Amino acid sequence: MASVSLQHIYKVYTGGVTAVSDFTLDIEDKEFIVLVGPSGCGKSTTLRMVAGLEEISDGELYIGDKLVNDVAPKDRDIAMVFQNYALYPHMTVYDNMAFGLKLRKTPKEEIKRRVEEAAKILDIAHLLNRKPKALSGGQRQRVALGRAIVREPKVFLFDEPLSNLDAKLRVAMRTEITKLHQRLQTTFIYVTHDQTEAMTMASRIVVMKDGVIQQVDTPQNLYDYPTNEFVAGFIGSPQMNFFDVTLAKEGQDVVAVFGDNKIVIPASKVAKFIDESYIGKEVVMGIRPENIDDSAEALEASNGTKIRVDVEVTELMGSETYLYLSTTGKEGNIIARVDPRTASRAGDKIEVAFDASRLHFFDKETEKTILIK
Amino acid sequence: MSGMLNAQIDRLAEMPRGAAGPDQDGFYHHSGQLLLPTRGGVLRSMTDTPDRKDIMKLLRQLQNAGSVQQVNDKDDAWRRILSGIAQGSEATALAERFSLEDGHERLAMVFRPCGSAGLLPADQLRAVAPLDDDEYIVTLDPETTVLLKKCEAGETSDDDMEFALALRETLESETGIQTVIGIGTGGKTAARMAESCAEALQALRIGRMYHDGEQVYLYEKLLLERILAELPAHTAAKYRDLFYTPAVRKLMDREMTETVYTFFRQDLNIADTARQLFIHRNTLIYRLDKIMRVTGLDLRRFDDAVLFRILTELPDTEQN
Repeated sequence: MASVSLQHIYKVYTGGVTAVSDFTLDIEDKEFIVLVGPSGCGKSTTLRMVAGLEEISDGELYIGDKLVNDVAPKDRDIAMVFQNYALYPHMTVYDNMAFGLKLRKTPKEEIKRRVEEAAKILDIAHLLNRKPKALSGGQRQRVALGRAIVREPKVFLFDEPLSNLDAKLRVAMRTEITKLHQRLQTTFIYVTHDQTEAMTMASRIVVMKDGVIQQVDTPQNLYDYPTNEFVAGFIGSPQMNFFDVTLAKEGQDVVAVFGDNKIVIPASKVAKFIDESYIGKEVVMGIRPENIDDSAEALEASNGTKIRVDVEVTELMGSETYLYLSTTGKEGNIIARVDPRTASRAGDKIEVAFDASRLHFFDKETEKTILIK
Repeated sequence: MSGMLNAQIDRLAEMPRGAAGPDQDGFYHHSGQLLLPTRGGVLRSMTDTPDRKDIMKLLRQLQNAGSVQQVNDKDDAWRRILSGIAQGSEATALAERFSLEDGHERLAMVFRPCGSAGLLPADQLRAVAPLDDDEYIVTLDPETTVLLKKCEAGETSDDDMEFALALRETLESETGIQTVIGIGTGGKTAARMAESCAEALQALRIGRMYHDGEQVYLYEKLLLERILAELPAHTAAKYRDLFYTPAVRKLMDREMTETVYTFFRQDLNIADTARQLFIHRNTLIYRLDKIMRVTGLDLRRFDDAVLFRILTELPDTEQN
């Protein structure tokens, strides 16, 4: 068990390409940290630097109190679970789990103890004599986890371990890994491009883009208070809707105008603008799909937050329906997540109401939020 | 004659990094030069022509005369056979002298380093690989290490792939060295091992051309790619241009490409593809309809899907 501290870490490749820039993060002991971002954002490179599989160009990396920049991967007391969860096909589950320890010349009795203990934790004790071919995808993934557990590392590193699994198994393994973290009480650093994985598993999420940390926070805070447009768009599925709007003063009200549409912004929200000078300027307004409603109740309760839209496509998801809408002043579709019993159909012209208390606003140039928390 | 040869063919101490090969005659090619590994170094011709190849073959035969007696161990014998230094009767003589043909079927796995952690020494691979004594590791050149792995009864190419992935992972976690691996087909004779090694090298070259970013390439699973790679460049370019209109180029962004290839991997099954991509089936159908509108190909139809796959996998000589 150990904390991990990355201080002003850089990764610059020969030729000058910067993959990771000024990455600073303190990961507490037993924390479950998820690095998330689109491909090429530097998340895997960061993980690989922690593992010692990539050289650190600049900065300092500590595991516990020890500076490990120049420590070999095998001596860092970490275990990595890779994307492929590949097992040696000619070895039994036991031998696959024991192989890494044999390479380290661990005594036979100790290997036996560790493998059996890990197998018990992962509920695969009955599979130890089987060959990988006789295992299901989920069981194979557990063996791969077992291979990491037997090393009894201070820190577990996961590099998109679920990305090769089918959708159903991915959901099941997500829960398994969360439970494993609770049971092992060890520091987990987990990399994924899947924001759902990040949201469901992490105690804190690090959102990255172009090698730079965009925001570090709890899943709920990231969702409710994204610090910039990128984070707002990346976290949440379907993603947040964005509108180029002009903020204008109308009597006592502040309104957001786009195309023929006008949304009255509640005074409580206006009070959260970091700078009143934004009123009269163009900004980016964001609203999540679940904060757009086509129900009669919402429309009736709405106070200047309705807009007229055309329904282009409806997708019934069972527990909810997605409406793909178009309106003036908005390029591309608006997505609304509404009640599955909605009467709206493709081709309809309807009204929808925005929950204006849930609006987000971003500076058009810097893309940073212009709201205080 | 000798003076003329000296001016145009010289000798290097070792194979230059990045040289492509060996080809079917055991030659390597690098920056318009022709390179031939021989006992005591590498013969280099500054021009890569058939007549220069013949002269170099003759030089090699003269040099190798009697070389069988100078080979010291099995690893060296394998190195000469796999690299094409020893061919024909010389290879047979080496195989006999060192009992290389013991009745076991083996295949060649070629390892090339691909990360920033450096080269892969044979002893590093030996230290972490779960191998028997009669499975050989041979260094062909500083960037090419070959494992001659025994094929057990009942093993399939999927098992070979799995073994290679597992070994790759062990190597990476134990030594920090990242590799890409090409796998040839199996055989029992030394000559077949040389072919298997050439297949593995070809799998690496063609695999990286078509599926860059993957870690293991199986020669026998790259049949379509091998056929397409052999098309004359102007023919491939003609059909690529025919297919890739500006509208198609605009349509096939990252999301659309991922959609199509997931659809192919799921055997044209709408429900499975939608599940795999985490999208609604209506969204998938909408995308497939859009592709049909722009390309005229309905990917739900087998014939159109095959045509689409071939057209999109034609080698792009400009890009490559």
